[in-house]
Amino acid sequence: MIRAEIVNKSDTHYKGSTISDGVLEDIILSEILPRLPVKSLCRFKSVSKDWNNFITHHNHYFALRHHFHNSKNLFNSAYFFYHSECVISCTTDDLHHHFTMSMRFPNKFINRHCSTIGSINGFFFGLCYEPRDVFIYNPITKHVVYVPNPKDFYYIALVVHTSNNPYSGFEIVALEILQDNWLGFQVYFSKTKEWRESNA
Amino acid sequence: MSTKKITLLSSDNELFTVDEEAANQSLTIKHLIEDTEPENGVPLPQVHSKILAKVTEYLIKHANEPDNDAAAKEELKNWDDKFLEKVNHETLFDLILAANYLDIKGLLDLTCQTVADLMNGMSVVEVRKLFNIVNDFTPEDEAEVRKRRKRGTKTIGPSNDQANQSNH
Repeated sequence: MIRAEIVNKSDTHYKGSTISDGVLEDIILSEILPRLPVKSLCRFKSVSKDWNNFITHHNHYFALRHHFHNSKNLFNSAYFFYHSECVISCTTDDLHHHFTMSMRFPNKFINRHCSTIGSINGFFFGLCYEPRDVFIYNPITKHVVYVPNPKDFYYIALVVHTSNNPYSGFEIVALEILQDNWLGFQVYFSKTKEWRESNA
Repeated sequence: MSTKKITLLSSDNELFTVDEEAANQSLTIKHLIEDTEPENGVPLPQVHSKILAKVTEYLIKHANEPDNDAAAKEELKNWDDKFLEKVNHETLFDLILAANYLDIKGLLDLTCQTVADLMNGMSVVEVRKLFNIVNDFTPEDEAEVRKRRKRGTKTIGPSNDQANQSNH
């Protein structure tokens, strides 16, 4: 039986913290805002200049975190890779199991700033920057498929259906946030190899 | 089986005793024990007894997390919900700071998600009040932020020819 015992008591007055504490402010921006739905996030750009800057300039960060927090699948990942190694943090269903592992990526990604957006059935869906490349990578066969670049986007996800193998047919959805009630979608179809725009 | 006890010392010199297994969920405490082998309790000068009492309560409850027992997981989740139910905002923020300082991932997740849920239904003014943030926008700045959001609408918004579907 585990229990806590208060061995010694004192009467020191307790005073809580406020936002003026820089640490709390950092945590709000980096840990709490990414948990908000995009609609609220858009609205809170009006809170202050700091918030506006942070929300505006960290779109990609938010997209990754959103993917991570909202994942309901058995195996989901959010991670970055630098050089040729990849650090992966995974969560299983409703338990928060986080662990990291390393994996080698092809030499062509070395020293490029890349991030992996998601993984499905062992395939990795990733992005590299400057110049931007969108790609799907099979770590077993080392096979890479490049996808044409979409327009600017806030969130991007890989959709695979009917087959377990992304190479045999997939779609990529890129989401752009517009005004509160509006989202712009771009969908890439592997069959036609084209991006198409729509809204909802 | 007897387990090793760890004593934690709050900023106002209150002592809390927990099992090592419970304490080790805090990576900060774990490392402090490994590195310094403190004899008179692990000193936590950044955490007040009022907060440390809540933190140890969490650590003890989460010391033996169920792996495959769905009912136990459900019970733990309900306990988590109740754990923060009657906590005021100030204490909640202090718990976040403590979870961050003590490096307790589960508690940081729980408290941050609670604040996020709280904020979700709030207006901009309410959020400023919650965190005591001063609106430092000039009226011109604020208009500009709104204008930017509207400009986006024109690119692929309702005026787009391809698919005129409203969200609601």
